[in-house]
Amino acid sequence: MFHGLTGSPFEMQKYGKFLFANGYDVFGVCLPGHGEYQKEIYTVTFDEWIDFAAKKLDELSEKYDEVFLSGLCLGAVLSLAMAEQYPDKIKGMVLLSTTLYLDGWRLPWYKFLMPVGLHTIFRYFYTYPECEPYGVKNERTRASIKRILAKPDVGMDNFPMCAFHELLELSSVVREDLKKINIPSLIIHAQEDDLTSVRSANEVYQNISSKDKELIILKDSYHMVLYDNEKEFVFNKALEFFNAHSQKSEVCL
Amino acid sequence: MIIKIFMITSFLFFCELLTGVLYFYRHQNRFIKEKSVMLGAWALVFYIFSAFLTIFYVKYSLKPIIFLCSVSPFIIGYYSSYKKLMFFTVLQLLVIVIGVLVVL
Repeated sequence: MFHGLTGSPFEMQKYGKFLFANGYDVFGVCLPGHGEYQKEIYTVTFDEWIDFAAKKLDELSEKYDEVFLSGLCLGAVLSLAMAEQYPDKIKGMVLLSTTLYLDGWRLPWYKFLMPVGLHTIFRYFYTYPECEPYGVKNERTRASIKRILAKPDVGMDNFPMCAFHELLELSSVVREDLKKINIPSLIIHAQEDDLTSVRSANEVYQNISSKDKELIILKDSYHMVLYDNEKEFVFNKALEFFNAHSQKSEVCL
Repeated sequence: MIIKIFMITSFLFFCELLTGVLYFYRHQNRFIKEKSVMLGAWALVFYIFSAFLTIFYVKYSLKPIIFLCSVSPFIIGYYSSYKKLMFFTVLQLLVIVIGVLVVL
């Protein structure tokens, strides 16, 4: 499982526990520049994310008969990258809030300055603060997230612009080769995603070559679909997908 | 007139970037830090815009230099890295100075 940009394995925990309780071995990895290595987020590149993911995939492929991938936000884009490069090692994937573009409704009025922020040295100076609605439509959950974000090992409370830059660089690499993907895929995206619009999910769904693919648009959630109003629906849909495509006894995610 | 505007925006961008890098962009107070970076971004936008316009008002031989000044933030941004940030910031400041000296 791959977490989102500036997140940590913590944000995949409930999802992972649910799948583990239903018989899957689950591995939630901490991407370079995240978690305890937060300071490295200014120096990490998308190549390092790809190399790290490939190494983990390789390790799991040796131990398990079947490996599924699941990712949120950046994690979903990374899953796509792995599916393009190592289709033989992956049985299927579940993509949550795939972030190929930063075009959500939450982005501030000065988003037209993004090229200046992303492509000049200002990307190392500017950090976009995590703010309302924190990717969550459910107000009670949102309040909990605000409290949890105060803890350092959960995730960052701001997005360094250089991290966005690396995400978008990864996205442009992935978008070029979407047609190479032919593994079973389930794409889940919120209609009202505040960070990235359904354009990302639609582009993935329309361009991958998988014959077995499904796109689900959630009507009552924002970006953090694993914590929002329809989280049980997301968990169950993912489980259905894994159960439908798993044939062997030893499976991991 | 356009050349004067270019000189003013260059001066403002130079001051903003220098003071920002030395102090404001690393300020403990997040509000000050964010607003100063935003100010820097706006100064950069005006600098790029005025540099681009200045191309049409300088001598033919100086047009390529001013054009390079206008795209320099993106060229420097492309090659920059966090580890060599100070180097690239100084380079950007030098480019601003060169642009002003060229039009003087």
